[in-house]
Amino acid sequence: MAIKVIFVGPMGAGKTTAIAAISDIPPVATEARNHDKTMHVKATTTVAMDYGELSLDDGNKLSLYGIPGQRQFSFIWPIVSKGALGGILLLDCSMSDWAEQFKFYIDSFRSLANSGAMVVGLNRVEEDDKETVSGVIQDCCENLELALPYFFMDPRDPQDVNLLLEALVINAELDHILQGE
Amino acid sequence: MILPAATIEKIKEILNYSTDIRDEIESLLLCTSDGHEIACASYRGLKIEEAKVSAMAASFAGLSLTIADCCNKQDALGGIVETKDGLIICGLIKTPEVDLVLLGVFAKGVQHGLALWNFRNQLNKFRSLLKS
Repeated sequence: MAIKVIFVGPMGAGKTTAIAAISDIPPVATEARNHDKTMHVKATTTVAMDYGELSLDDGNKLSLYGIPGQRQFSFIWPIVSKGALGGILLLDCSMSDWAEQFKFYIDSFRSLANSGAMVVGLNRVEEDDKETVSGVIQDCCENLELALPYFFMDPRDPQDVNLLLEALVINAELDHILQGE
Repeated sequence: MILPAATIEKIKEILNYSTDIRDEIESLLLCTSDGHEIACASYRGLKIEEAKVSAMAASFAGLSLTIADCCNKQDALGGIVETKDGLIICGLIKTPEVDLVLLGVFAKGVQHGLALWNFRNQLNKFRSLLKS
């Protein structure tokens, strides 16, 4: 049986791109024309879900699901995330409200975050800003009483996306072991 | 604003007129393909959560297109939900300027053929309006 992983985060964070970067199959997307250019300037947006697959060396298969990032589609988030091993939260840190988005998505997927089954990918961070962004993430995690792994990444780069997946799987396995003790 | 105010007024007129004169139509909702409500009309005191249903209609339409594509069927026109209480039909309206989704909720007992015929008439009205 395939292991399900979800990609979450706001519109334009790179969820569709990240899935496309690592999927073994042509990714399935549900893109529609973006009419709300105040939210993001991109031409299309996901309206239901993205789907991709990744085969692992041990023979297991990961099913990669992406949620639609716009909040009006929050009704579908529990449907898409049902049965997921964990989630990858992607954020576009060039957006002024990225820290607010971080808190919002942690809150929306709190059960995954609480169980250590969430990893954060920070996209579009300039070299000079990395320290500041790290500080903000660490403060947010402290306030939320969470310890989440975070990585600076580019969703177009398969190596970066694979690193997030590896961190997620290791974290989930650790949590599983700790719960068994 | 996605459409000019005058066009939205005209859309509302069509929706209200259609739900008034066609007993089999319970609700008609028009939204953008990315889930933003444009206008909605219902009759007999029926109430649907317009913002929520707009997002759901957009998701449903998006999935309909993707499912059709994955099954080697091109240019999906929309999708149908069959319930014991009647049909829900959703259809796409594509124009150079804007992509819209029309959702029609039909009363219990209405035959599929009649509902589809009626729904397509509504779609054509909006296509003509947006073309003009």
